Amino acid sequence: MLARHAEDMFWAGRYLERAEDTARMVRATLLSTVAESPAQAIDRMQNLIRTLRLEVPTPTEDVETMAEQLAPSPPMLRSESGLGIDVQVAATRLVASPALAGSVAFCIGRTRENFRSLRDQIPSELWEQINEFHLRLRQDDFPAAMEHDPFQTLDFIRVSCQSLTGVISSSMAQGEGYRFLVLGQMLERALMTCRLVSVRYPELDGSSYDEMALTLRSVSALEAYQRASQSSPLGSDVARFLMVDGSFPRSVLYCLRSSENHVEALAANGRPPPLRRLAQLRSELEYADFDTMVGDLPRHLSALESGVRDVAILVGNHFFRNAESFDLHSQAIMPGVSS
Amino acid sequence: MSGPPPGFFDEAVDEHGQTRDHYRPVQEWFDRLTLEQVKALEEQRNESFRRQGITFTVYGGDEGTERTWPMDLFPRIIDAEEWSMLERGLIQRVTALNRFLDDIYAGEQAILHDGIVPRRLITSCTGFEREAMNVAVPLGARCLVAGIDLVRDADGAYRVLEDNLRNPSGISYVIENRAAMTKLLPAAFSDLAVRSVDHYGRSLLRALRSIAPPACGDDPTVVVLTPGIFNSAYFEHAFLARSMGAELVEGRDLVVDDHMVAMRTTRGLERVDVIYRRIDDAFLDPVVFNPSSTLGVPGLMAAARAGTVSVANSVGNGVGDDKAVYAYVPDMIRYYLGEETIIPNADTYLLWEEDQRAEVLKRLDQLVVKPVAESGGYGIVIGPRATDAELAEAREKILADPRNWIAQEVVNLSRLPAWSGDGFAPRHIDLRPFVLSGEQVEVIPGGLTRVALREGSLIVNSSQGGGSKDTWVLGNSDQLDQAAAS
Repeated sequence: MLARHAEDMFWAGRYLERAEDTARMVRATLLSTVAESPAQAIDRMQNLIRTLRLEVPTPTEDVETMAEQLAPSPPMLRSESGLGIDVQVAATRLVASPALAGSVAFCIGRTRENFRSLRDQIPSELWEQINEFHLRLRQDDFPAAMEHDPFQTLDFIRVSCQSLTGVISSSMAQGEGYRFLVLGQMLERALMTCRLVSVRYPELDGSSYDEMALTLRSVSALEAYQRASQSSPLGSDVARFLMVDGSFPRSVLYCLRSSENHVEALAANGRPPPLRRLAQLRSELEYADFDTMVGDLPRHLSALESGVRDVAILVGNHFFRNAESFDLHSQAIMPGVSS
Repeated sequence: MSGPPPGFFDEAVDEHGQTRDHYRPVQEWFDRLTLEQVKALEEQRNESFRRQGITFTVYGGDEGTERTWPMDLFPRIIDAEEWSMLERGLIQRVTALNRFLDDIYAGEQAILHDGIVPRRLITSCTGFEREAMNVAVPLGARCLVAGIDLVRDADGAYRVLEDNLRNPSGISYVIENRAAMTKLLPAAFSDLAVRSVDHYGRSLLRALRSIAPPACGDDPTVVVLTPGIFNSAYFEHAFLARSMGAELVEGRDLVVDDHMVAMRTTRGLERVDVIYRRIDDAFLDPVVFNPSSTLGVPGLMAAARAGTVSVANSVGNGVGDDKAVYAYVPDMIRYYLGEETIIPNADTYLLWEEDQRAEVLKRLDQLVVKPVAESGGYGIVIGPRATDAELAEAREKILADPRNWIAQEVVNLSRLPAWSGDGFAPRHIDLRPFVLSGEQVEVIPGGLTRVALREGSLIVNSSQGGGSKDTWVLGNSDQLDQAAAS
C-alpha cells in the first residue's frame, strides 16, 4: 500500500486509542474524587494530567505569571480562579476542548482527519461512524453535557470508540492497512499503560483498596484483575498484572506481543529494525524476574516507555520512509511523545 | 393549473398546464405528501449526507468551508426516446472532439490546413499546451471523461452550453443522489424503469485500462491523482478511487525515475501505468508547467511523452473547452464524421470577427457575455440583468481583448419544481451528462441536473447557490437487463 496511507492508518490508530484511554482515565479519576476533599481531588487530577504527559500548571496566586507560563500551550487546564486547577473544569477540557492537544475531542478530530485522507481505503461504515462521533464532540452543547453529566458522556465516548474498533475488526479487510492501524493502537496503548503504572505506582505502595481500584479501573482492568487474582491485591501485584499479564489486552506485554505479530506480518520477509527492537523489548519484559524489576520500577518503566517510542520511530523510518510527509505528523502533536 | 409563463420551457408541465406523461406518477406521488412529510424527508436527507460526509468545499471567507451537498427531492425525468436522441448527440460530439484534439496534438492538424478552424484561434488559446504536442494517447481517447453541459431553450430544444473536457466533476454526486433517493423515496420509483448509474466505477476503470501503454501487459496499475483533502472535489476523488479499487495518490506519492512513474509504497517503489489525474494541467508537472507547483510530479510529462504512462484526461484538452473553439464544434462534426450536429450549440457570436462584434456591442443588454477560458460560471455578464455600469465594463473588456470573449443569446433555462422551504416552486435547471471514451464512447444514463435554488436565478453552479437533482432516465426492460448484465 502507499506509504503515506500506511502512515495515516498508523496515526489514526494511535489517536483513536489515545482518545479512548484518556476517556477511561478521566472517568476513573472523577469516580474516585466523588467522595474526597477538594484538595485530594485536585491532587488526583494533577496526577492524571501527568499520566497523560500534559502540562500541569504550578499553583500560584499570580494569575498573570501563570498565564505567561502557559503561553506556549493553550491555557486550557487553568481554572478560572487562577488557583491551580479546578477538577471539573480540567476534566471537561481534557475531554471536550478541541484546542487542547491530547484531549479526546482533539484526538478524535485527528483520527477523522487521517481517515479522511484514507476515504478510498476504509469501509464507508467506518467513515460514517467516525464522522458522526467527531461531529457530536464538536457540537456547541458538548462541553456543557460533559460538565453536567460526565459519567454518561464518558460512557458515550467509550462506547463510540469501541464501536469504531468493532467496525474496524468486522468490516475492514485485514490486510496491510488494518495491521498498521492496529499496530498504532497497540503501541499507543502500551505507552499509556506504562505511564499509568509509573504515575500510579508510588500511590500503590500504601496499598489502600481505593487506590488500586482507581489504577485498575483507569484501564478497565478491575474486573479482569479480580478474576485473575483473588488474593487481596498488593501494589506490586497490580503493577505485575498491568505489565506482564499475558491475556489482558491492555497489559504492556500483551500490546508488545500483538505489535510484534503485526510488524512480523508486515515485514513479509526479513527482520527489519522495528521488529528487532520490538522482539528485544518484549522478551526483556517477558523473561525478566518481575520481583527484581519491581525494586527499580521507575527506571524500568521509563526504559520501556522510551523503547516503545523507539519502535514507533523505527516503524516510521522503515515503512513510511518513502513518504515525504513524515514530518507533517510532528511528534509535538502527540503530547508525551516528544523525545 | 395554468400553463407556464411564456419564454420558459417547463419540464413537467405542458403548454396547457397538464402534467407531462413521463412525470405523472412522480407528480402524483409528490402531490400526496403533506408539508410535514416533505420537511421530515428534507431533514432525513440532510442528516444522512452530513453523517456520510457528502460535502463540497466553498472557497472564500476565512477558509474553505465544508457544506453538505444540496440535493432537491423532486427528480428530473428524461424519457427513453428523448434520452436516445441525447445519447446519440453526445457520442457524436465527444467522438468529434476526440478526433479534433488528436488531430491538433498528434496528427496532421488537417482541420487547420483545410481552413475549417482558423489556426490563429488555436495558437492563441490559453488551453493550448505546446508541451502536449506529439504526445500520443492510446485509442486517441483524449476526453476520457467529458461533462457536456446541456440546457433546454424556450422551445424545449436541448442545446450544448459548454464542453468540459479537462476535469469535469460531479459524477460522484450523481451516484450519491441516486443512493439517497432510493433510500428516502423508494415508493416514488414505483414501477418506473429508472436506469441505473452505479456501474460508473467499473466503466471508468475499463476506459482507463483501455488506454494503458501497450507494453505494460494486461494488468495495468491505475491510480487516481488528487491535489489532496483540501481540494473542493476531494470527496469525489476518494469516491472514484474507492469505486475502482485504485490507489488515491497525491503528487508526493509519485516519483519519476528514468521516464517511468512509480508510487512510494510500504514495500518500496511500485510501477504506475495509468494516471486518472484530477489536477489541472498547470500543476501537473513543475518541470514543464508552473514551476512552483508542489501538487504535481516532476518529470511526468517526459514519461508520458516516452509512452511509459498514460494520463487521463489528456494534457491540453483546454483547447477544446475554449468557448470560441466551442463555436466550431458543429464544423468539426461535419469535417470528421460527415454528419450534421444532433444537439446544436447555443447561438454564439465570436467577438474577434469584426461584423459579429459590432452587432453584439449594439445588443449587449440582450446577450450573455462570457470569457472564453473560464468555467464555473465565473466572469459571466447576463445582459438583461446587468447594470449600465456592468455593461459599460463588459464593453471595455471586449474592445480591449476581443479574442477573450464570446457572446450568446440568452437561453432561458427550462424549469422544474424544487423545494423552496414551504412548497415546490419552479426553478431553472441544466444537465451535465458524463461521457466516457475508451474502446468506445459511452454515456452514463442521466447525469448531474443542477438547479438554481434562488427564485428566478439562472446560475446553477454549486459554488454560487445552486443545488442538484437526481436525474432519472426511463428505459424499457431490455435496457434494464443490459445494464444489470454489464
